[in-house]
Amino acid sequence: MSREPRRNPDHARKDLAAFEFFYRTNYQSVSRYVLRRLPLDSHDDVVASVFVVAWRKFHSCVNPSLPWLYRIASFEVAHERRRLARRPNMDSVRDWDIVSVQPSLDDNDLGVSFRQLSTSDVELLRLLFVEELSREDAAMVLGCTTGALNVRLHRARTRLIDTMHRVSWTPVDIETMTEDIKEAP
Amino acid sequence: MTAKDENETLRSLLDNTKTVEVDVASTREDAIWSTVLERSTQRSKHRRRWQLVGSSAFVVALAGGLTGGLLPAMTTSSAAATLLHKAAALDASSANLPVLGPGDYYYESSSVQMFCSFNGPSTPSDPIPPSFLYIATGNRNTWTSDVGGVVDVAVNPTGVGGSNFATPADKAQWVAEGEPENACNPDGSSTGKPGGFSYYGGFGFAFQANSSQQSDAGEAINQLPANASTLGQMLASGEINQNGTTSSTPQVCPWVMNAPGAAVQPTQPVAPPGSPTGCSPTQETQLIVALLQLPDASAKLGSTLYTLLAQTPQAALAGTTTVNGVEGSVVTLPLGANETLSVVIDPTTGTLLQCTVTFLNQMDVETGKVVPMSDVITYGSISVVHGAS
Repeated sequence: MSREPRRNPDHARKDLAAFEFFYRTNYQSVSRYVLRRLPLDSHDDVVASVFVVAWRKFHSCVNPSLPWLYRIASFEVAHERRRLARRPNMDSVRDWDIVSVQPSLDDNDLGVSFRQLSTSDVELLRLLFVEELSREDAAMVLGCTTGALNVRLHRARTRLIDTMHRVSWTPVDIETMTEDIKEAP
Repeated sequence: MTAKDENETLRSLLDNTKTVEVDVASTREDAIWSTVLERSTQRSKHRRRWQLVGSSAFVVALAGGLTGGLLPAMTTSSAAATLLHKAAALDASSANLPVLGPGDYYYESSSVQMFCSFNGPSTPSDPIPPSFLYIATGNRNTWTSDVGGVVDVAVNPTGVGGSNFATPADKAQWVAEGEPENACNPDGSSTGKPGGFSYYGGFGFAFQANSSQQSDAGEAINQLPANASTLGQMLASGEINQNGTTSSTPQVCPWVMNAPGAAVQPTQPVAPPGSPTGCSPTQETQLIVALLQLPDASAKLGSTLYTLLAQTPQAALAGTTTVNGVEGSVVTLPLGANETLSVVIDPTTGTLLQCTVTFLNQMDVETGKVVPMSDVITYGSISVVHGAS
C-alpha cells in the first residue's frame, strides 16, 4: 500500500510469486499427505499451517522441496493429533484409520497385519510406498540418516512379516511381499 | 500374487485417501492459499510493529500475476480477496522506508479531484437557494513524521487542471444567478455577490481545500494496532477517529457523528445523548477509506488495511485501468446505498495508485437526474525531506 519503491522492491514480489508457484506445485501432495493422516475436518487448517511455516522459512531454505514440506507437515500433523487428543470424548487419536476407508480390505489379512504395526512403522512404509519418496528423501522427512532409515525399514519389514505369520497369509504371499519390500525404492 | 500386485496392494492399503476427500481438497486450493497469505501477514505484523514504533516502518504492497490463471476461475469477490491478501502479504514482508533523522519528514504530493457543492444567496422571495455542483482539482502535499506533520491542499482555479462546474447546467444557472461567490473556487474571481453554504465531499478532514493545517496523523497512526483483528474490533466499536486518533472507550461511530475526540466535520451533526456506540460494517469501511487518505496510515498499516478490506464480502475485482501510464487492477466496495469505493493497485509493483469515492445520488440542478460525482486521490511517491514547508 505504499507509494514509493522500497529497497529492493521487487524482492518481495518475486519471492511471493515464487512461493505461490511452489504452493501450486506441491499443494496436492501436501493435501493428500495430510488427508492420509488426519480427519478431513483438520485438512484445511493443517495444510495452511504447513505453508505458512514454509513461507516464513522460504527465504532461508537452501532447497525448498516436497520432502522439506513433508518434514514441516509431519510436525503439523503431530501437533494436530495432540490437539485432537485433548478434546473431550476422544480417547486418543491414532493414525487415521487405514482400513476404514478401504472397506473391501477391512477383512484382508494384510490390513490386519498393518493394524498391528506401530505408527512409526506405517509412517515409514507410507513415505516409501505411497508418497514414493526415495530413501534419502524419506530420511529427511523423518529426520534421520539414510543409514538409520535402512535399519528402521529392515525392522519394519521384519515386524510386518511377523504379523503376517500370525494371521493367515500364505508363505508364498509373505515371500513375495518380503521381496517387494526389500526392493522398495 | 505378483510383486507388482503386492506393491499395488500395499500402496492401496496405505493410501487411505478417499477419492471424494481428494476432490474436496482440490477445491480448497485457492481458499487455503488465501488463508496462507492472511496468516503470514498477521504473524509478520507482530514483528513489524516493533519496527514501526521506532522508525516508521513501511511497506510495499502488491500483487503480481493478477490476471493470471488463478483468477479467471474465481468469482470477482474471491479474486478481490485473493488480490488484497496477496497485497497484504507483500506489504508485510517488504522493506521499510528509511529512518527519519531529526527534522526529517516523509513528503508526498498527490493530485486530488473532489466534488464541491455551493449555494447561491437566498432571498425573501426565494428562500430556497440555488445549488451548484462543482469539481475542484488540485494537489495535496503532506509532510509527516512520527510526531505529526502538515497537510496542505491547494485547489486549482476554475479552468485549470480540470477545475470547473460539474455540468454546463450548473454553470449556466450560476451565471443566471449573477455569478455569486463560488466558495469551491477560492482562488477564482467573483462578482462579490455572496454565496451560500458550501462543502467538499468525500475525503474528510484531509481535504480542507486551500488550507494548511497541522496533522497528528503520524503520531496517532503509530499508536494503532497492526493486527487486523484488533484494529477491526476497534473500528467496530467506534474507537478510531477519521484522523487516526483513538478514543479510550467505545463511542458513537465517528463517521456518522462528531463523537467526542473525533475530527470535527462541520457538516455533521453532534451525536445526541444516548446514541448507540460502534460502527456498522459499512461505516467501518468508510473509516478505512478515511485512513487510506492518511499517508502514514496507508503506508504503515497498509497490510492491515488490505486484510480488513479483503474481509469485506462485497469487495469485487473490477478489471483494470490506467493511472499515470501505469495499468492497475481495480477493487471496488460499496459504501452504503449511495457511494462506492474503488482502489487501484499496480499488480506489478504493489503500489496503491489511486483511491476513488463515487457519490451516486448527486442531482443535476436542471434535469433533476442523478449525476455520479467522484472524489479521487492519485498518489505520488514518498520521499524524505528535511523540514516541513
